[in-house]
Amino acid sequence: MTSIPIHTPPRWSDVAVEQIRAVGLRVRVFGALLFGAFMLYAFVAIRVAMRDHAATEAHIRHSVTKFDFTPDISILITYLAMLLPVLIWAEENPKRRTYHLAMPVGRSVHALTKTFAGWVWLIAGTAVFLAVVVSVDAVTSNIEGSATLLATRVAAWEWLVPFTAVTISYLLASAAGVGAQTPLIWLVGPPIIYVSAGMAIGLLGYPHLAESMFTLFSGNYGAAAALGGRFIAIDAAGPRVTRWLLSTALWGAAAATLLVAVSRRRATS
Amino acid sequence: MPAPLPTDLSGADLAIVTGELSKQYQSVAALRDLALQVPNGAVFLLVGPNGAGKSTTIKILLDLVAPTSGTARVLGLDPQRDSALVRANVGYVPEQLDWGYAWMRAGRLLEHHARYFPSWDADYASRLFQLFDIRLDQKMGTLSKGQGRRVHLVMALAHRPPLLVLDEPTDGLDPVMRDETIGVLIDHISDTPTTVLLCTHHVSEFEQFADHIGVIKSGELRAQLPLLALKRGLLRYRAEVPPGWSGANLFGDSALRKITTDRDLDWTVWGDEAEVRSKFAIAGAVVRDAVSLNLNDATIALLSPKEVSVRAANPKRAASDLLEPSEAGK
Amino acid sequence: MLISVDANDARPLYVQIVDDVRRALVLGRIGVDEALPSVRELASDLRINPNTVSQAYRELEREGVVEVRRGQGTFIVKATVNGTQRRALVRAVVERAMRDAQRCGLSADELIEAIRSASTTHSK
Repeated sequence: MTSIPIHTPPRWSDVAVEQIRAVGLRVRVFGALLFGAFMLYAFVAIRVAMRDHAATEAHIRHSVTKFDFTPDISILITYLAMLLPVLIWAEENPKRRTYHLAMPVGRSVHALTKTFAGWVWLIAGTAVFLAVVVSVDAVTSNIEGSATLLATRVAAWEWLVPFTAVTISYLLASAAGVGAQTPLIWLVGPPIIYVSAGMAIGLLGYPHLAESMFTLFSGNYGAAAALGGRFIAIDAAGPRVTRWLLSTALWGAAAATLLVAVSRRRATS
Repeated sequence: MPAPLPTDLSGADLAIVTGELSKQYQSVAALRDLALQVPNGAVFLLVGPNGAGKSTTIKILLDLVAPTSGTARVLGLDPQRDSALVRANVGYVPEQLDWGYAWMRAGRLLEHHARYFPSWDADYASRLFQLFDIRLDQKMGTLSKGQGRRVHLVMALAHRPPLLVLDEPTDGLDPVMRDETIGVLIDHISDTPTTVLLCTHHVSEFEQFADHIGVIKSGELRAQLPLLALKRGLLRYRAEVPPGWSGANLFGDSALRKITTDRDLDWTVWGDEAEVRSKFAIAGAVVRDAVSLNLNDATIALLSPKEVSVRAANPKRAASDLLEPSEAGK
Repeated sequence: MLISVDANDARPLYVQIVDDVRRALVLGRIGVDEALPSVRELASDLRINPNTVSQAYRELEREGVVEVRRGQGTFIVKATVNGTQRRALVRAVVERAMRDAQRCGLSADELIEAIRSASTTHSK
């Protein structure tokens, strides 16, 4: 019949490594800026603690501002994590992705691999961030004189929260990055619509309906629970860890499903 | 509407074959029952006006776009089922050079591309880069259109694929660069057995390199045949006819271009030369000359058939008074 | 030996190459056991498809003019077939002249007469 094709597609591991390197190159400026910001935070925090400690006024000295770690500090990096896919897919909106799509890798696999590459850097950045926060906490605690160990204040599972939180927000934002022509609109739009709609419904005289809507965010298994370990609706619905696990699993699965679905779409025309 | 020239190349060992391939975009039919046939080892020129469906066909072959109906086979594989495997065996230079790597340096992009193709020949790639005078440290976004296209060409050639799909490979290049590009392609197929599918508007430039041609218009093939057959079968006949000659429809659609005066014919006709000559003779026309066309003229004849009648009753009258051009159907 | 091709020529490219090799033989520009340019070289120089060059060389091999030696190249084998080559050349020239003549409505006899008188003028 026709000639037997002699070339095989590349191994996934080679593609993954190359994407990690390429994405790393792409976001290096962003990453450097963030690292600079962490360093600045650390510097300022320690300086403030030292200043308070050396203050002559007793009441200041005894309440040194401590910069400590709680799981909901990950809210901050959750927002940053949402920006990462926008940066990664910046010049490759679906209509301008021919080069990427012409590679000898399946469409869906390739998009997911690129997303994975970004995730690797995200986790690395999160780890650095946590390291900085923990160090600052240790140093400022030391300055204040109290040797409070984080280990006694923070439960073991709470260390995982930043990582799972950024993963979920990153996956959701990646769905926008992979599938949307202008991802930013999709990142900013839906939350605005959600909040406005809820408020409008509340004001129009349906407070219960509005409340139900908002449980999506603040409920026992809402987004806030998954994204920040923050339990806004504090009611007796089981131990915090269970609620966190369930909300993380729910939101994680939803985000992953959306991402996979979006990655399978073709470029039109 | 039937094609005036043959379009069937089956019987040859085919690297690319499509069957009733159709693509509908809302109200526009980009491809209609296309039966593209590219023989193995051929250098196949795909020629046609913008919007004729060339790029659409290529995108379907590489599974960048899904067809509405019909089949396609590339190197025996179904692009929709074996998407990645097909692309692993194709060197592709797209018409629109859009990529998300404007920020990357050319050398880095080559490395990036190389990881995707295990059969990458790094020496070849760097030799081509030197020949094309592209600096490795230049950012992709700062390259001119022509230079960007040459980078793409290097990337397509360096892994020595069995199939090259080139969409306007010389677009944006100056004449010297165009000549160099063709030289590189020729050397490449001397060294590596390759099938080449090449879309271009620069038909005359590739006339000596190609050995097959497909002429596409409005999503359909007007002709698909070896260049030798085209050269032998599409001839420009100059003949004399007696006054009042009434053989205007002698060849029907096979006469692509007809310039007719009272006593002379300048007709471009497809057919076996001996048969055409005898048909003319029987109809009372005396053929003085039958000349083969260069590829550019042949393509024009195929894409825009024309019929012009010039009635010169009084040769002293101005030419503009005499010309009654009328465009015949397609 | 110089081989050249012209896309505007009525003859297919490979025929032009065959004719040029014949011409070179007849003119003594190339002799027995000398090699023709390699397929790759000639294709690159003329900017044509290597398969066209191969086709021309195969045609010459079929006519017994050359021999393809694996790994070495294509070599002339029979320069003494001058006669056949000469005749083939003359035939090519004549065919071109006849086409021209026909286009002007001239007969073969008129052409022969004109050639005779032209050649006597020429040799003076």
